[in-house]
This record gives sequence, structure tokens and C-alpha cells, in this order.
Amino acid sequence: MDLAALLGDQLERLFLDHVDRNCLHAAESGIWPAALWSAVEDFGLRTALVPEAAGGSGLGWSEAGAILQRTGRFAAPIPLGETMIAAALLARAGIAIPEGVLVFADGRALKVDDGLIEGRLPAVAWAHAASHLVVAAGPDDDTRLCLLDLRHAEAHPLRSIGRDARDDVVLRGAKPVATAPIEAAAAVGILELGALMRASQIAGALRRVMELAVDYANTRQQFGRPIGRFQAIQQSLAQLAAEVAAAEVASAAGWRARDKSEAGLGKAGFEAAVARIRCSEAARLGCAIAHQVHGAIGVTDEHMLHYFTRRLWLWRLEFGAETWWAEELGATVLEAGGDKLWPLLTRDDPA
Amino acid sequence: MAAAFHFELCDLPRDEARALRSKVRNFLNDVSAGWTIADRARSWTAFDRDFSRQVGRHGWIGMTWPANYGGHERSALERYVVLEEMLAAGAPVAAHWIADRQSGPLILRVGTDEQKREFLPRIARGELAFCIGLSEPDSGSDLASLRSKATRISGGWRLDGAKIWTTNAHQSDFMIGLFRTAPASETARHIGLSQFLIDLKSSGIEIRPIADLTGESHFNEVRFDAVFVPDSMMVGREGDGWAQVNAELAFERSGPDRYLSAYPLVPPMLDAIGKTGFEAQAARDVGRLVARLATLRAMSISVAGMLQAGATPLQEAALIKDLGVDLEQDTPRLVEDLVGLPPAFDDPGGLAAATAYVTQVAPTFSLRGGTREIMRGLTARGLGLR
Ligand SMILES: Cc1cc2nc3c(=O)[nH]c(=O)nc-3n(C[C@H](O)[C@H](O)[C@H](O)COP(=O)(O)OP(=O)(O)OC[C@H]3O[C@@H](n4cnc5c(N)ncnc54)[C@H](O)[C@@H]3O)c2cc1C
Repeated sequence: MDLAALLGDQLERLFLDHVDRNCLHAAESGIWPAALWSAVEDFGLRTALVPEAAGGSGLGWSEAGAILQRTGRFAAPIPLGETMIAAALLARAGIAIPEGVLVFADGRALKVDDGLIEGRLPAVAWAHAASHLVVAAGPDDDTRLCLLDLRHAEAHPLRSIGRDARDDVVLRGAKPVATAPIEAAAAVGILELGALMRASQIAGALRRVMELAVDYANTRQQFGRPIGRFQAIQQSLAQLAAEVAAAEVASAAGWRARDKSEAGLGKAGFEAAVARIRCSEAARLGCAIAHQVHGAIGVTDEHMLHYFTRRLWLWRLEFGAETWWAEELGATVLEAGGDKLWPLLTRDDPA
Repeated sequence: MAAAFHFELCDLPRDEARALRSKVRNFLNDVSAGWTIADRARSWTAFDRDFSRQVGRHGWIGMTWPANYGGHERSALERYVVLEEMLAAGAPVAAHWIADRQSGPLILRVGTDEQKREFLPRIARGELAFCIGLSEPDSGSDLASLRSKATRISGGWRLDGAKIWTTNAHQSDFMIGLFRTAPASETARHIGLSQFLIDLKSSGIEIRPIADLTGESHFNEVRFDAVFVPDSMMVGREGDGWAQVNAELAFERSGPDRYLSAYPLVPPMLDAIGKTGFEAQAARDVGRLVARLATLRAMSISVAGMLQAGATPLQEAALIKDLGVDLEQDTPRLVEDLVGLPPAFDDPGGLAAATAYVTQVAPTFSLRGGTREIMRGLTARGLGLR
């Protein structure tokens, strides 16, 4: 078995053992799942995406996507994806990776003055659980990847329907621990990575939601038979299945493009936008169906369903909301003109 | 729960696909000079034997079949490139589409050597058009209830009964028809069905085109009154018809024709919206449309990869068809919304006319090839609900 599959299986077993309703409930009341995190650290997952030469496991982006899908499948209340991607960004820029939990954010709105960073990053996921933050900031002719120590930043806790930690991070003349020059174009790539991360998590959580709904339909009896025997329920669940399939394919295709763009085959922004939009749409439609099939029990605190659906509703909005990405992609397509669309759709083998 | 469906991403073979794609594009550029938007919107319902012969000359029909049967021994993925280029351009492919997609592969898989030698090379040259005789007046979704029968007589079979909704029967050379060769049992209705290659010039066949709501006739009623087919024209084994038809449907349900039917409206719609000055809402709608298109394409190529590997991805094909027809059916409405089309028009080739045409045929997208409800039933079975 290859390394990615091995890590994935280990993670799956760990989550099966640890991430239950109690774990999620505790995390949502603000208790950091320390044991879960240290087990994940022990697998070496923090540096899974760091090249082997720099001491990591050297996994590709597509392999990361499969791991992130598992974090979604269990709604694991830890910033594993955030840490993996932040570490990968640092390693690629040649900056040493600090210990602990790492997060990243789109820093293009920050101001850099004489090497000091100023500004506000809205709703950064897991900021107050993290030791360090990675952003790309600076003017186009001098964009730098910056590693910031979060002890020198203010984190204002926020509330969200996902109930995992989210904070507004305010930087007031913060001095980065380290910086390295990157292309201005790569700065938007950070936003895309976040969007793809959420897309994979959505795909994983949505499959779980489908499984919960199918199990429920096969067990809940009304009118003397399981409700899953009713064709109306079967047809709804089939629609949910189609959304799951679309989310899985769209997110995987997004990561594949990211791998290819690193191999020099053009930028991955188009596929990232597609993944982001399509997975968010799937989350919206899929959650509605799953709740309908579950009836009243599905909206109780007692039931597992909401731990997934609340996160799905939140993830749609992070790293650029569904609507924002749709507008970006649509504007790009319109500006290019009608005869450019087909070449764009088929560009995985560009002529 | 067992995994009900699984899509593995599949890459088109880069170098081959690139070379092939640019050849197909060049060809289509040359021949499409006079095509209006409305012509393009007809695409795989547009029957043009000259065009099909040209496609045949390029080696783009029967691409995956063995060379000794007139094929070109290329992969299913290379074939995919040709199919999607044809549909995106709205080429008039109806005269070879069904034979290339269904009838030829069926003959190749279960036909006799004689059938393969007789039919496949001519299909590959774009010279033979086929139609599919499944549905009957009283047997639609419940296909196994069909009643047209084949009775054994000296040297062959005698066909009696009627098929309906047979696309292109009035313009085709042959039908592959499903007939009852033995009575169904109470418990197993799917037994006793067999497929035949039927020369549509045979005596006793009456073909009556049925006009549809567009005023045009694409499908037909085909009556069989003591029609003789020789033994040599049975396709596959006697009584195996049901299994053969189902394998065939995986090809029918997952191709690019299951999400690109309305695509020829999209580029002119973008141009009509304009490159600048559009509203944010228009951009969002376009972005969502493109996200659905790109995802369906990746799903459809994934299924092409499974077919290439010899699998029969019925579950995956049903999911694509369900999502694909939704997209196709939403497209004309989106054009109306975003372009602000007039209710009446005087340019019969323009975007308004093309959209009007697609609006009228769109209801069929979720009927042909198995209805939406039947597709979802198939998915529900895969999910373990029935
Ligand atoms: C444009 C077009 C081209 C076609 N071309 C061909 C062709 O070339 N060859 C050919 O053989 N056929 C062809 N067909 C026929 C097509 O396969 C049938 O229309 C289809 O199988 C449905 O059958 P029906 O129209 O009799 O509808 P019915 O089966 O009568 O269905 C009517 C409605 O009832 C629903 N329904 C039926 N059974 C169930 C059930 N068990 N559960 C829930 N809902 C159900 C259906 O989903 C549908 O909504 C074509 C159809 C069209 C529209």
C-alpha cells in the first residue's frame, strides 16, 4: 500500500475511535481535543505535504485532498488541513516550519509598511488554537510569504453555525518571524488552496450525510414499512447521491489541476473555482434533502446529523463564498467571450 | 453500506488527445461555415449522410473497433475527444451517432463474425444508419412487458407487432429490435427476449413518422406484419436480449451527449450578454453554469475511463444522466433570463430561434434513454433502498 493510502487508513481508524458525538460536543463548547491532535501529529500528518527533502512525507495535492475528505467525513474538530497546507506553503518558500497548530489566510488586504504588517483578517479558522499564521502580503512587486507568531496578534472570537473556532485576527504593526519572496500571482493561490480544502471537506461530509440518511430511511418505519421503501424518499435520496458524486469529482478535479499547475501546466484557478462553486451547491441541496428525510429527529441536538450539516453550511462560505467565486468565474468567462469557453473547459490537454 | 458509486478521475491521454482534438477542430471549422446557431442546436437530431461519410473518412466512427472490421483501434478516451468536439460544435451527427454509440458496439460484443464483417466496416465509413427498437405503445419504462414477438419459421424468424418512438427509423437502414422469442414466466419477465438486426426495406414493415411539438418528425411508429428475418440476423444469443440491452444502455447514458445537448446555446449566450458592463447576477449565473459543465465533463470522462477498462458503470451512468439532463433543461431558461430574449423573432437561425427549439425538445431530455424517475430508481437500488 502506498503512503497516502496508509496515512488515510490510519486517520480513518483514529477518527472512528475518537470523533464521536461527545468529542464534537466538547470541541464545540470550546475544549481543544488535545489527545486527538497529538495522535494526528504522531502520524506525521502535519508535514504530509512537505517535500521529503525538507523532512516531510512528500504527498501531492491530490493525495492531500483524499485526506481532507476524511476530515470532512468525520467533521473532525481539528485544523489538520489548515496545518498541512500552511506547512506546505512554508516549505515551498524555504521557511522553517514551527511546531504546533498552523493556520493560513488570504492576506492580500493587509498593508505592509517597512516590514511590519497591519490590518484585519476576518474569520480565520482556528486562529486561537494555533501558534502561527501564514499569509501572503505586500505590493505586487514585492509580495512575500510571511510567517507570523499569533502571540503578537489579537484574536477576537466569533460565532458561527459550524461552532468550530473562528476569530477575527487583528495585526498592528506585527513583525513576521520569517518572510520569503513569492510571485504576486501565488498570493491568490493561497485563497484557492483554502477553497479546495473546504471543497474536499464538503465532499467527505456530504457522503457521510447521505449514509446517515440512507441508514435512517432503512430503519425508520411509518405506515408499516421502512420509509426508504417509499418511492418519494428513494427519489430524493437519489438526488442527494448525485450531489455527493458531483462534489467528490469536482473537488478531486480541483486538486488534480493544482498538481498539474505545479508541474507547469498552467494555473489551477479555473478548477478551484469550479470545485468551490459545485461543492457549495451540492452542500446546499444535499443538506436540505438529508434533513427532510430525517424528519424531526434530524433537527434535535441529540442526533449526529447537525454536526455535519452545520459545518457544511459554514464551509460553503469560507475562503470566498459560493456566490463570490461564481461571480469571479462568470466574469472571467464573459470577458473571454463565447468562443473561449470550450477551449477553457477542455484545457486539461491544451492545444 | 457498500459503496454505491465510485468515480475515479481519468485523464485523457494528453498527446494523442491534443493532436486529435486539433484535427477535429480544424475539420469542424472548415465545414461549419454556414451553420446557424439554430442548426447547431439540432446537433445529434440533425441527420446528414454526407456529413457522416466525411466523418467516416477521417476515421472518427468505430474508432475503438478492430481494424479488420473497419475500425481504427483507438482508445475509448480518444473517441471521447471526438464525440465532445462534435457536440460542442453542434455538428449534425444523427446519421451515424446511434450506430457508433450503440448498434456497432453491440454487434462487436455479441454478434457473429459474419455480422461483424457485413455491418461494422460500413458503419465505420458512415454509410449505415441504425435505429433502436425497444419501446412499444404499451411498454415504455416497463420495457420487459413488451409484446412484439418473433416466431420461429423455416430458415429464420417471423416478426409481428409494433415499435414506437423509434428515433430516425424513417431515415435509417437497419433497426436492432428487441422481440419476445419465448413467453415470459410469472416470476421472470426478463427471459425470452432476443435482439434482431432488421433490414428496414424488408416487406411487411410500415414506418410512420410521428410529428413532435416542434412540428418536425424525429421519431416513428414501426409496424411489423409477418416480417421475415433470417437466422443469421439474430444478435447475440436467443433469450439474452435483456442483459444485452442493459449493457448497451451504460454506453447510451453516460456519454457527452448526456450533458451537452443544450451547449450550442451557451457561447452565443455569452456573446449576447457581452464582455463588459454585465450585471453581477449574470456573472454568477454564468459561473454556476460553467461549474456544472466542468464537473459533468470530469464525471463523464471518468465513466469513459471505466468503460475503457471493461467495467459496466450503470450506477455512475445513471447519476450523470440525472445531473446532465437537469443542466440541459435549465439552459434555455438561463438564456432567456440573461439575454432578455424577445417572445417572437424574425431570424430563424438566431439565438432566439435556437432557444425556442431547445425549449421545445428539452422535455424529452429526461425521458429518452430511461426517464428521470427510472434513473433515480436505479440509483436508489444501488444505495440499498430497494
Ligand atoms: C425524443 C425521444 C426519442 C426516443 N427514441 C427512442 C428510440 O429510438 N427507441 C426506443 O425504443 N425508444 C425511444 N424513446 C422512448 C423512450 O425510451 C421512452 O419514452 C421511455 O422509456 C419512457 O416510456 P414512456 O414514454 O412510455 O413513458 P411511461 O413509461 O409511460 O412513463 C410515464 C411517466 O411515468 C413515470 N413512471 C413509469 N414507471 C414508473 C415507475 N415504476 N416509478 C415511477 N415513475 C414511473 C415515468 O418516469 C414518466 O414520468 C424515445 C423517447 C423520446 C422522448
